[in-house]
Amino acid sequence: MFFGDGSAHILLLATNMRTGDRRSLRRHAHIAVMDSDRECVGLLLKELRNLGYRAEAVEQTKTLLRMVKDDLIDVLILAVDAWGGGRFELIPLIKRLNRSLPIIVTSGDDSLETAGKVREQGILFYAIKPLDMHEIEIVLKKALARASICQKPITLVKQTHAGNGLEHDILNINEASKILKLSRNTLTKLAKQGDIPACRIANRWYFIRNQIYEWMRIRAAGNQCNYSTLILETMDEGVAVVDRRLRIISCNSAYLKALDVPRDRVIGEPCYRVSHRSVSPCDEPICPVRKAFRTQQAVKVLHVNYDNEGKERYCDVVALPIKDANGKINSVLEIIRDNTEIYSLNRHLNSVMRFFARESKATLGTVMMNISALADENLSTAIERPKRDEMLASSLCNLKLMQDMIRNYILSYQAENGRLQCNKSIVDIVHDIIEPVISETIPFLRKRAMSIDAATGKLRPVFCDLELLKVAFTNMIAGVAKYAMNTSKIRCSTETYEDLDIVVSGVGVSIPHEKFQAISDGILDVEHKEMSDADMGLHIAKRIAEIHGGMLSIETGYIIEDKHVPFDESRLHDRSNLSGRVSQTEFVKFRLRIPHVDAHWEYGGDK
Amino acid sequence: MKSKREILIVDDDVDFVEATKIVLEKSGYHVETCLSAEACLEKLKTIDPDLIIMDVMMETDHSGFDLCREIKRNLKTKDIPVLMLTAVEEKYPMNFESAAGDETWLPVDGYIDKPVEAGVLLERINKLLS
Repeated sequence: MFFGDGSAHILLLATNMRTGDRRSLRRHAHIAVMDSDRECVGLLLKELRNLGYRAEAVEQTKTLLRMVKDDLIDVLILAVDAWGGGRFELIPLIKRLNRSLPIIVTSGDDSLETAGKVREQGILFYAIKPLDMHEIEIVLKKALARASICQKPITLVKQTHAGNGLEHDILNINEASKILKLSRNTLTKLAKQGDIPACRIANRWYFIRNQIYEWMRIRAAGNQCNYSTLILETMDEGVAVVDRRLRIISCNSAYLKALDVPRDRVIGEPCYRVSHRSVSPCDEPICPVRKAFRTQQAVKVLHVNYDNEGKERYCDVVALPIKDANGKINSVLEIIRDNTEIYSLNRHLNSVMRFFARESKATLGTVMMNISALADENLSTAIERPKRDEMLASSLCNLKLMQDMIRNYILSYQAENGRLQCNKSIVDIVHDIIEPVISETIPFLRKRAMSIDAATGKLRPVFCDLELLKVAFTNMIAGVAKYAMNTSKIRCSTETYEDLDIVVSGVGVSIPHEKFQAISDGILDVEHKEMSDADMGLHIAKRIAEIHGGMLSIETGYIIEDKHVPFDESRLHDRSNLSGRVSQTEFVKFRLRIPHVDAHWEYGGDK
Repeated sequence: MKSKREILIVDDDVDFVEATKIVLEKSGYHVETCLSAEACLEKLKTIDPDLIIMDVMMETDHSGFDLCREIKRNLKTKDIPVLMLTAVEEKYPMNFESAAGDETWLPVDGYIDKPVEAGVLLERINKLLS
């Protein structure tokens, strides 16, 4: 059943069989399986026997080599990674004993490197576990057909077959060389090695036309089979071959990686179960594979797949119908391009742009109103000089806010990506940070009739990043101002008794619970509905404290008997009087604490 | 009878309120201001403005939407023209301008996207008051 017409002829012509020809008399081909995975061996033997082969497991290398030497095996299925690897070295040895023995190598290692190494040994086929029995069956058929063609000893007898000029089918080496497009030397070499069916008569090699055509066909098919597997592996994108029952019959490593699943949970499984973690197939309009089967055309759609942790993966899925030799479509090549990073980046960029557009537009609202009024001749002359100055100052303050917002975002981005640099030096906190920052914020605060005072305790130089600390302090003031009402008083206190403590507080103001939580958690999420530029500033102040090994704490609550009491505590203490408490004065307090570090120690003694 | 037309500005951005107030006052209007939707509702109990200019995102992201509905529901205030002046479009990517006037969800008489030039705002106000 495995032979073409030409091969059948050969059997008819084999009139003088030698003892070595016992293989052709065997009713069943003998297949030896060598693998340490007993379960795999058991299943393989069962499948092979069902296919009508005589299959046998071999455990000992010595036994195997003896069987090879005695020519007792038709095909060897060898797991190179069996018994912890090392079976790889067996191949050259086997080849020395029986060069023409077809070897199918199996391996759980799906790397291209291993595949390449194994192939160099001149094996017939390299199969990645779990094995695709359909694939194995095809390879076995080819192997056995080839073995029969190669190894049947033929006595060429010039006979005339009824109605068929046999002389025409017997080719000398020159004729065969022409057909095969191989040099005479190569052909002789192949014939000597038994790699091509040939017969030597009186020091001359003869070939049978149909045999060499069959040999070419088998070799091409074998290569094609191997190449298709290798081609899948060379693709960076996840690729799977799906049959009409939507079961995955082959896939590459990128596919497994994209879906974060091992190969044994993919091959033979329905594609929807593997890619969508779904128990039922997708509807045809959204399933590219089903659509490709129906339309017989290439289909591309965007799919949301889920990885092993249930996270969304945005994938462009391309389904390409594969036609078989008869032009029928029995499988579809599914290419999955995981564009999650691009989609996420786009989404993030959109949200960042929306955030900036919103915040800038609100800020620019004031600037444009002021500047357009000042530029309008009629309006400008109607506005008194001090008011005009105020409007100009207000515009400048707002532009500075915008500048701070952009700086904060850049710092946040750097912090999120671990690229925030902390260049520490010895800093005079009052002279280098407190005084300049306060003088910069006064115009902005004055605009809102707010005042700021600073109290400093015992201070000593602090080893920190000057610029970052200035940013953090500015943001703390802006944070209080954001939630404070006009005319509020902002207090700053600084001390370095032990750690550096910078406290900025405002009276008559509190932070809404949601924002308090978001800022406390330190979440930088510009998609967060309530996130404003001031909140982002507080977030980066927190990150700055953290990269100095410190922290930013936030308190908000009531001032009860001159004490700052957080909301929760005040309720716990006196719930009955809660309604009365609500009308009491509220407060917000930000405390930036950086642990004391001896600069000398941090410099490693080289101050 | 009022000698000047009265405009109520509702916005939590103090700077913007100040700037707009100056522009409107110098253009001959009497201006009242509120920094929140809640304060606006309180103020409307005591004054009867000819126009209300309001922001959207104040106490919450949708304070202005709720406020305009409340104003239009109230028999006393329902006829006061409301001009929405906001940058909310950047938060919710929708075309609010075309939706302005929808009695159910955006019952306002005009919509302007921030930032706006003083001249454009005055022109719009004049149109609404004429």
